[in-house]
Amino acid sequence: MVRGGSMRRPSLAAVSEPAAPEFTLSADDYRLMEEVGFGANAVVYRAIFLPANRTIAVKCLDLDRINSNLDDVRKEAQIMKLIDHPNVIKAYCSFVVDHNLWVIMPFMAEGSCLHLMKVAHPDGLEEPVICSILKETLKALAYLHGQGHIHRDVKAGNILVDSPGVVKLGDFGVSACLFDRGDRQRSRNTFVGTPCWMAPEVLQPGTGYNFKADIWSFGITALELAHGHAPFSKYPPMKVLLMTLQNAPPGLDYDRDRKFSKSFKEMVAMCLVKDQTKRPTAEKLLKHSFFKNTKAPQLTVKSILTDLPPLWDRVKALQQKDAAHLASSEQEALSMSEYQRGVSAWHFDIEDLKAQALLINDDDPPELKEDDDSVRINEVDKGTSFESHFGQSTLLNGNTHSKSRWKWP
Amino acid sequence: MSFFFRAASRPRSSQQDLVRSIKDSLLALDTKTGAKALEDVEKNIFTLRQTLSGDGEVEPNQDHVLQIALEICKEGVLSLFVQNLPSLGWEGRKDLAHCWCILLRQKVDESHCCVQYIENHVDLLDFLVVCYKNLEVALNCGNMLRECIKYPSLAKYILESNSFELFFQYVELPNFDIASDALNTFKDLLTRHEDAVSEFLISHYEQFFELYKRLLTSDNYVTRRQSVKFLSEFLLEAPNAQIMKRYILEVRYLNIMMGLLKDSSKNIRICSFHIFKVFVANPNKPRDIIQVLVDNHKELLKLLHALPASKGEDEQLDEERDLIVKEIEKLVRLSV
Repeated sequence: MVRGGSMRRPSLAAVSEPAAPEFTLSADDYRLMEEVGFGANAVVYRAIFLPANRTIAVKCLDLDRINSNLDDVRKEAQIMKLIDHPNVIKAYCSFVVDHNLWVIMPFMAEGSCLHLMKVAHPDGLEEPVICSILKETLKALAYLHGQGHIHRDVKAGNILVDSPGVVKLGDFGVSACLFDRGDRQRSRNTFVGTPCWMAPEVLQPGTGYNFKADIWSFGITALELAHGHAPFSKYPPMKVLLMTLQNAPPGLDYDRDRKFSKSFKEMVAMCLVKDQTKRPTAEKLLKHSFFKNTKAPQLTVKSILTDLPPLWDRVKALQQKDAAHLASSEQEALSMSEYQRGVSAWHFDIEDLKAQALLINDDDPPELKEDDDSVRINEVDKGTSFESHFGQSTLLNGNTHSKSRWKWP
Repeated sequence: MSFFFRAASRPRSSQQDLVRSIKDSLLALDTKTGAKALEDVEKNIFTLRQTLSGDGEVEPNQDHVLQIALEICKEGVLSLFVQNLPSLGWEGRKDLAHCWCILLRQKVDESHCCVQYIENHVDLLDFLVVCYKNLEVALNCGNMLRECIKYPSLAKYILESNSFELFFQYVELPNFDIASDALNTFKDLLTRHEDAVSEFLISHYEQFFELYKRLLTSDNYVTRRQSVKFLSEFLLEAPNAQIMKRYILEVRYLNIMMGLLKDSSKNIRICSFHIFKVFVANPNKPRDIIQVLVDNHKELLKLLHALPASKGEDEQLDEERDLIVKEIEKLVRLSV
């Protein structure tokens, strides 16, 4: 399409580097093995890339279960392609297989920190281990924030560990880019995340969403690693939202926390400040004394990996436990199972949520709405104001929100 | 451009120096080889990025930003940016795309100097479009392209150029991230500037909808789903009324919608209903449309009843479905 002589062909460097990707875009080249993770709309498999006999992970996202438009899926795929950092999971490529999107990613053999705790450390990890996991996570956040991305889903379930003790932050289920917008002042106003890890300002309409929300989630994640679960995790989601807004920020100040160092407690307290402007940036936080003498994760994390069954057996065991839990006590299990799964993409309707929050009753937690057919349909209908072109007679009363927009004589 | 003369008579500013060294380093890529030349370019572009958008602590100086934009146009650096983008490394390309977006927004009085520059060098746009075929740079170029088509003159150029047809290929590329980026750009092209779009669709009606038919009947689930959803959106926009009225007279397009009503995906079925209903609701249906509806009424009624049940909240879909069912039943009665 290049016209005239003014344009140069793509330069030599681009031509000599073959554009062919290492990984192919054909499902036949991959053999799916065990299930190693699962979420709201996706299953993650360990898989073999046959042409190179290489173990990788394939995330299979059922697109037909996503009723809203696919923009969020596109953004996630693109962010995962445009990032490059040793502590952030990168997507090698992604392609469509029938109704599913397959995302090809590195296989993290030990799964998430959440899984590791559930399997072998239900009451939390030792401080040196926590310290190195947090430092790796923080490096990831500093990079992402520098690139203009908000992760939006920082939690132990999203911190993945590979066999030698490599720690990476994964799953951008709902991450968004602030730089995408024309003006940098405007923050994102959408309402996404997982309730236990959500910053207070994320729960409040009107105030925007910025990098500092990740810092709050990072603080909650620190508590999660210290105790084996996030604060408030035993409560139903709606109650968690209210407690986050109304209670004093959680911290490391129970009796059981006496074993933790002062600098750890201080670092957590800095992250969990309700006023987002008073929270440090990831970059600043990395310089905190808590992280000064951090040991390499290869040394500390390795210690929690010994004598564990393979990841897929752990996942299966957790799934079974989950199912049993659901059967035993439906109400509690619902919120617990969501928690255990670490569902990565919650979509709330904020007005709905506020209305529900007003009516909240401890014994009767309202169900949270996830994707709903009606949301998508309404979106489509925004575009249907065509009737007037047929002339008044065929049409309705002009009130575009009226239920009976469509009438024919 | 008296501004330039005044600027030239003054001693060279650090902004001019920066632009000059960017230009020199880019030109050196052609003559010098090796990592050094590339390193220089990337270092310069990183400095440019910091000057244009601040370094996180210090906000950028708007006067300097503007001066840089003017200087970059004057020196023809925008062309060099585009031509050399594929040679740059990973971070360099991202920095460059970031700078590009800021530069295009700069305004002197009422005119965007960089946009004007591109208007006079439209081959840059064609180049950016074909970059979708280059895996390495596709997403960077997509970003730059979308910034360009925010401006009506540039969007209009692409719509009417030969490059536009390429989008019908690119939205079906096997790489999901690239294909969906191309679709995003394609959507922007067809929605951002209503008047230019409806003018284009009127003059290219046959050609455009023939190509679009291929998307609607694609084997790729995402292409099908996105194209039917997008069609339901832009066809029903007020400025496109004339095009919509023409579209719903055509049996070949009705047939496609009937096919999509049978799709295995519930999302596609619902979306296609929102286009199908317009064919039926049209009070001036041509005879052959009526014939198709009557001939297929049994299956259509079955499909309409089988549309995913709403959960009580979407009464509108239910109501519309009832009306469409009634209309088809009426046509059948009248035809007997």
